[in-house]
Amino acid sequence: MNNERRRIKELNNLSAYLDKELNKKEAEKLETRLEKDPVLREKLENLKRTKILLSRLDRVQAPRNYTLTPDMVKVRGQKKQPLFTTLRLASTFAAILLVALFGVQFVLQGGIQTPRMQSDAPMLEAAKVEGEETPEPLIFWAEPGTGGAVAEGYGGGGSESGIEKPYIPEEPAEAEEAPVEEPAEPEQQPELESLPPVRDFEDSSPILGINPEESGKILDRSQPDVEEDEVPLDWSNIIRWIQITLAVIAVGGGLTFLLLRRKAR
Amino acid sequence: MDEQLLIQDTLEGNLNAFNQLVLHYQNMAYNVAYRIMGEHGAADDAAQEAFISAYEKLDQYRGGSFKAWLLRIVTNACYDELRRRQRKPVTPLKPELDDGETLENPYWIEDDAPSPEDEYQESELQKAIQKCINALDDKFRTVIVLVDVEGLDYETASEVISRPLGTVKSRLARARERVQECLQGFWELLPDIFRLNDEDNQ
Repeated sequence: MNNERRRIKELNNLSAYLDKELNKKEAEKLETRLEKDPVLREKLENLKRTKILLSRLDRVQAPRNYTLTPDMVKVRGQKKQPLFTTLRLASTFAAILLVALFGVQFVLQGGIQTPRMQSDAPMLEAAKVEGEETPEPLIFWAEPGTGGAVAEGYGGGGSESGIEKPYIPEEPAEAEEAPVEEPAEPEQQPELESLPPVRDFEDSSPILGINPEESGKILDRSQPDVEEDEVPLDWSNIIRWIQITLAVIAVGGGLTFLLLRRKAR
Repeated sequence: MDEQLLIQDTLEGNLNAFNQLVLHYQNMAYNVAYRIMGEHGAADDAAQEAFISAYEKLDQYRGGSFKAWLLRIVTNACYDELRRRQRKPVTPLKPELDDGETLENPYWIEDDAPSPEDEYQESELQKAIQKCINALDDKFRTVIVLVDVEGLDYETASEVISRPLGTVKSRLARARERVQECLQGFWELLPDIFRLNDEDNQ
């Protein structure tokens, strides 16, 4: 290995010496060695003859003029422009946007994940915590103290137990216990029977069945500006789709551009 | 010829100014292309392509040796042409004989009029040298053509291939060594001094 390296270095120096491309110090060092080493001199002579042979090659004349005409330049320019440029630009911009989007997503990661956290599995935990602190029913549509229906869930449907819960705004903790205890107490039945007659809800909301006249009695103030049935916008999904689209444009455009350029050559 | 003035005129839209540069450098460009490609047709394509490319990229020329800049474009055009030919091999017009040799003058392309190839009379020795050059790898071939055939110094050659001086030096040395070894296969064509030397070595 070392011998081969030394041989190549020696060859490089001999070749450069022939062309007078060695510096003075290196040249003198080599000349000293050449005086003592006949094998090295022979190598130098062989290289010299090869160089002379190569320089004896005739200079080939161009078979024609290569002057350009306006058409040649124009055609080339037009040929390059439309598809190549479009693909290249589209691919480049898509790649830049993709990187920027990743950057923005990274910076705003917490903000983007928040709606998702609320709508996925952690919702149960959130409901539990909220239930302990603010168990107020979401919607009340009867007079306080006379009992009434409680709309639960985002759809505004009634209680899952099928029993209408009384509204107790001041004692939220009892509101949760009520559905469990009520079926066991037959005394409450008359109270339920004494509820006002069912009204005609033709003009009410088709989902919640809320009479417009009573709509002002929505008592839950925890999210005053949010409609009960409003589904939060899932930004993470939207951004993911944008990223996928941009990646497809960037990679697809780039590959197509490279393939077309190769074919064109 | 004031190169810089012609370049400036070209950049201002004067195609004739560029054509003066073309006329001045076309033999050099063709010669280098031919020695790198080893074939007249390919060299012709590469030279034309190089001048068109040079015109289009002239605004990227940042001063220095215009010759080196142009030769870089020529060598790049040669590499492109070589790559293109590797992908789409060209069927030779000269049909191959059973032993793999090509028939020099097939009857269907015989023509009394002198072709550009016919006009260029190469000696057998020159053919042998060119064959040895063709046998080199592209990177070695380019350097030996630039320095030993075209006569460039190491610095200009380094500019042309966009590599350091040390690379030019080592590539050239190895290219010369390989050509030297290759030429031993054509010993009967070599001048006496080479044959004697070869016999001595044996």
